[in-house]
Amino acid sequence: MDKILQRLLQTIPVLIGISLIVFSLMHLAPGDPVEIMLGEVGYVSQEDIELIRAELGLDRPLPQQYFSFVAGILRGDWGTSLRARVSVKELILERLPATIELTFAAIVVSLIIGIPAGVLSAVRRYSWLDKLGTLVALVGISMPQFWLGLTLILVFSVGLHLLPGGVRLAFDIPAPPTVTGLLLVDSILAGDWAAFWGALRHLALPALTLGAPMSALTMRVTRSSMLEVIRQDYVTFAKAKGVKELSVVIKHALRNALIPIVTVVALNMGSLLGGNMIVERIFSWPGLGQLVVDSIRTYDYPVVQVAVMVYALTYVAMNLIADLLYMRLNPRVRI
Amino acid sequence: MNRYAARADEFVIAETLKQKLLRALQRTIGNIQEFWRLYRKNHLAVIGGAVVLIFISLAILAPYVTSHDPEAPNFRAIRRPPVWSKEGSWTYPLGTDHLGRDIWARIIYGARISLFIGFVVVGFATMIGVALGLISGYYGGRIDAVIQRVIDTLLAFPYLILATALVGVLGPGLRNIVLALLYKEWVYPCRVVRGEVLAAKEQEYVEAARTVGASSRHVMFKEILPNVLASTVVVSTLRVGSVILMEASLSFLGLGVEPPTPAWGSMVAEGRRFINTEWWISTLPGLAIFLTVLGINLMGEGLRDALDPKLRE
Repeated sequence: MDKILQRLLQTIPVLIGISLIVFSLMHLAPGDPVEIMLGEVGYVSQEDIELIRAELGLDRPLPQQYFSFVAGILRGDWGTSLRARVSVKELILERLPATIELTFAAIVVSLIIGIPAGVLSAVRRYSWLDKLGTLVALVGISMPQFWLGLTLILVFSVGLHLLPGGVRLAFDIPAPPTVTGLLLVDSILAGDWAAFWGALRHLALPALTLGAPMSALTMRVTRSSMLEVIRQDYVTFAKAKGVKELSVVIKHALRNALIPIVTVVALNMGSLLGGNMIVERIFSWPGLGQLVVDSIRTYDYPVVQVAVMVYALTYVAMNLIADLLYMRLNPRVRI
Repeated sequence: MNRYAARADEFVIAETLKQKLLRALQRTIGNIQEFWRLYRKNHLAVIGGAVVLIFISLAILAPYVTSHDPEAPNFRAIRRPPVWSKEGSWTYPLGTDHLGRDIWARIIYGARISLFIGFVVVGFATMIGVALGLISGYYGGRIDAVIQRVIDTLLAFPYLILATALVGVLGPGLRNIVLALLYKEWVYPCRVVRGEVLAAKEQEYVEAARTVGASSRHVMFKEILPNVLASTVVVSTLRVGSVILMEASLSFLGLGVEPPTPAWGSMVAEGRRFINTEWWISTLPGLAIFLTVLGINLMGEGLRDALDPKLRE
C-alpha cells in the first residue's frame, strides 16, 4: 500500500512540471503572441489586440496568469479557440474518439505482430528465422512513419485497390448513431455490420502504419523476456515432464514473460501518441494529432496548449497504470 | 662537465618522452585494431557504416557530385521519371519533381540538413546529458531528485508533439529546430550516464581514488567518465537515427527548414499529391531517410557489440 501511495505522490511534481511547460509554451514565442496570432488576419487595430490580450489574461502578471491557467484546467474551463470561436474542450472531445480508436487499433496490431514474432525468435534462437526477425525489427524502427504510410497507400490502395487509404468511413456508408464516438463500438451497438466492416477496413492501413515501430519494439522485448524465462527451472522441469513444446512455450514461458512486455508497451505509449500526428495527417484521420498541427499552423495557442497537455496527461496515466499493474502482477518488484 | 651532464639529462628526457609518445601511439593503434576486429565481425554493422559514410561524403561533396541547382525550378523538365524507366535519362538520374528540380541533387543537398541536425543535436545533447548525468548520479540527494523530476516531466510529452509545439511557437528555421529537439534530447544520455555512474560508484577503483583523497571533480571526470564513455557512444549513435527521423517528421509536417531549401521530409510531403502517378517524387527521398537511419542503427548495434560487451542481450 505504501508503495502505491509513494508512486502516486511521485506523479505530483510531474503534473506540476507539465502544467509549467504547457503554460510557458505561449510565452516562448518571440515577440508578442497576440500580434503573431493576429498577424495573418491583416488589418488589426490596437484596440482588438488589447481586447484579445485581456481575453487571454495576458495583461496580468505571469504568476497570476499561471495560477488562473491551472485553476481553469482543474475547473474544466479550458479556454476558447481563437479561430473556431468554440470552447477548446468541445473541439478536443470531438476529436478524441478518432485518436483513441486509432491508438488502440495500433496497440492491437503491434501485439498481434510483435508477440508471436518475438516468441518464435526466442524459441528458435540464432536460427535464420531469429536473424530475419531481428533485421525486420530494425527496419521497422528505422522507417519514417510517413513514408511507410505512403508506401502502404501506394501498394494497397492505389496499386491493388484492396484497402481504403484515408478517412474513417466511406462517404456512401451512413455512420452509426454516435454513442461513444468510436466507430467500431458504435456500429456494434447499432447492429450495423456494413458500417462495422467499413470502419474496420478504413482502420487497417493507419493502424498498421502507427503500430509498425511499436511491433518492432514489442518483438524485441518479447524475445529477450522469453529468453530470460526459458532458462528458468520451471520451464526446464515442464519440458522434462514431457509437456508438449507449444504448451510449454505458451502456458509456462509466455505467461511469465508477459509482465515486462506489458510494461514496455505502456512505457512506449509516448512514441505511439507522437506518431498519431503523422499518421492522422497522411490518412486524413480527423483526430487530435491533426488538430494540433492545424492549430499550430494558425497560431491557435489555447488549443495547442490543451491538446499537448492532454497528450502528456494520457502518457502519465498510462505509465501509472502500467506501474501499478506491474506491482500487482509481480510481488517481487520494489519500486 | 656540468654542461655535458645537463645535455645528457636533456637527451635522456627527450628519449623517454619520445618513447612514451611512441607507446601511446602504439596503444591507440592497437585499440583501434582491436575495435575494428570486433566491429568487423558484425557484417551488417560494416554495411551500415558504409551507407552512412557514403551519405556523409555525398553531403560534403554535393556541389561536385551534381551540377544541378537543388533549389532552382526548371519548368521545361517537370516530373521527369527516373533513369530506369523508359522515358528516363541520365540528365536527371532520379527524375525531377513538380517544379522540375533534380531529385538526386535535392536528396544529396537534403542530406546536409538531416545529417547536420542529427549530429549537432545529439552532440550538444550528449554534452549536456553527460554533465547532468554525472552530477545527478555522483552527488545524489536533492540535486538528483530535481534533475530526475525534470526528466520525468519531459518524458511525459510525446517527443514529436513537444517538438512540433516548440517549433510552432519559436518559428521554423534550422536554429529553432535544433533548440526544439535539444529541449528533450539531453534526457536520453543523461539517464544512461546516471545509471552507469550509480553502478560505478560501488566499484573498487572509485573507492580507491576516494580513499587516497582525490577530489570529486577528479573522481567524476578522470575515474568514472572514461568508464561510462563506451555506453554513451553507443546510445548517442542510436539517438542520431531517432533525431533524423524527428527532423524528417517535422519537415514533413511543414515545420522544417524553410522552402526551397531541400529537406527529405518536406520533399516527401510535396510529392504526396503526385503519389498516384509520379510515385518517385516522394518515395525516393523517403528511401534516403530510411537507408540513412537504418545504416546508423546498424552501426550503433555494431558499436555496442564492439565497445561494450555487457550491453549485449
